[in-house]
Amino acid sequence: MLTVDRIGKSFGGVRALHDISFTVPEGSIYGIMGANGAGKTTLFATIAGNLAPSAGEVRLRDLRLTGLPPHRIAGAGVARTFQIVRPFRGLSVRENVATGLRFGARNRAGAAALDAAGILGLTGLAPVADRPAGALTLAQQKRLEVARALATGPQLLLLDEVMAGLTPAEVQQMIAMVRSIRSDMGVTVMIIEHVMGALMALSDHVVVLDHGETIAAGPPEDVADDPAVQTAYLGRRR
Amino acid sequence: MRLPAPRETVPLLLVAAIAAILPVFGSDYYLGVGFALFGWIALVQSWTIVSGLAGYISLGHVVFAGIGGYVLVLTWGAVPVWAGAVLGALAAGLFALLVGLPVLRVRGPYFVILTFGLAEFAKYVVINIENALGKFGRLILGGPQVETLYWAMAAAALAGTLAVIATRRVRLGAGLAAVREDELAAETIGVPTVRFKLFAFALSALLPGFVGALFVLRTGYFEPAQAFDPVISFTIVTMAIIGGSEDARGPVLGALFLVVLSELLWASFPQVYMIILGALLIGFVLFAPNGVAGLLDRLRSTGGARAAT
Repeated sequence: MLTVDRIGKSFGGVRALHDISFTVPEGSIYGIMGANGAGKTTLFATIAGNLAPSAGEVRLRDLRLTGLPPHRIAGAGVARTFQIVRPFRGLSVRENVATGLRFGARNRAGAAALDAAGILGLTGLAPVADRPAGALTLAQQKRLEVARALATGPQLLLLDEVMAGLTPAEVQQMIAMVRSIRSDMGVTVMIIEHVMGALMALSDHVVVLDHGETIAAGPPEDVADDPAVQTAYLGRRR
Repeated sequence: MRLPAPRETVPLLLVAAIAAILPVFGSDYYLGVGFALFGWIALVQSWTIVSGLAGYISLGHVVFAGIGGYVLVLTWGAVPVWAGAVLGALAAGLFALLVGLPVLRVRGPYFVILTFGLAEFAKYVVINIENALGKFGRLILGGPQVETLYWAMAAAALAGTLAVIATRRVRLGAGLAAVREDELAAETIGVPTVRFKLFAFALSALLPGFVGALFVLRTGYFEPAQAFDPVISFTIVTMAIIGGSEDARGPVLGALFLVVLSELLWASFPQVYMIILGALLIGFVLFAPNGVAGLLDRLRSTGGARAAT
């Protein structure tokens, strides 16, 4: 469904991404792993159009996304959340979701059947719907990121560390929510997560980035046993 | 169709009521005050579209009024008076479209300074053109009567109020609010931010162009330093701060408050007018950032809370 084709990104002399290629199958949950600074968020930004890659291109089915402005990529059915949350602080939670519904994908898929109330219910934000988004707790703001992204009616949802900073119980809720987004709405999900257990439990496929390069890819259980991954995460065994 | 909320009906009714009442006094003084009041309402409502809804604070809105006035005198005698005023509005809108793309790339304090500088730049360009042509002020003789201008300006105030109400209701308004809150997030969920900002900027320039043309018709002459006077821009912002710029109520309340205050004070205490104005401005910025409209909301919500207990 999504093809990342030899993507590279440099900031001045710093090489954030180098020659990244993979294909996300339709209907899958695709995990992106890697240490801090490995290039995971940069990868999402190049897919969603917030950053222009220095090399390569991204395609959604036959549509070349690279070079399109972010609002056109959203229109094509790609939504992302922000690791450092960016709610519309002065607007109510309901208005945040309503704005997503009003814009977003041209051919609404996945969550298309859901209205604002449905999305607020699914993401557990109904009780705080009329509060200004800036007044929410971090856990709620993370859920609002997901809610607003879902409201755009995406075919592909990019989740950037939506579980970071959450309690174990909240992580369990979030895992259940992501599963339901995929199975009940048919949305393909790409997910960046530091919570390894959660990522392994959720993903059908995992790509591991290290210093901007792919060091492993495959089903989660194979990747976990990969010596290169263990080195990157745990350090070299002496 | 959604039923109109008080924040929509109140400003419309207020403008219509003032427009209907002032002529009853039958004096040119009241028509003159009303003309000024409606001019300010139209200017502040227009400003609210780009600066209140989208959060791009313009400190150079006088440039559109100046262009409108200049186009009116340039076309004076060549086209009918009202065609000249409408051309002035269109010229102001076109100017906004042309400069909008580069100007709207910056935000925050940079946008504030840039709009101010742009208006000053336009002023000196016009001053130099007029000097080169050997014109030192242009007289307009035989313009419309005071009462005609009064009704034209009342229509402009109503149009501005309606424009803010309508913009807030449609997709454009939702997109501009998203831009104001977080432009990157707005773009990422599908708001065509560049197009929306440019459209809002042009929309906010049209009526000021018309208003500027009416100002020239009222005074009977055009002089660039006066038509592009930055104090007009400052007054627009002051009225928006005092009234509030979240919806269409603020500009009406802010303009009404300041026009009435200045009429009262100029008559009795001309020396302290600016001092009182300055103190008021500081007070509003510190204690009522959403202006009179915000104060009313706060009063109503505490009143409602008391009623509930």
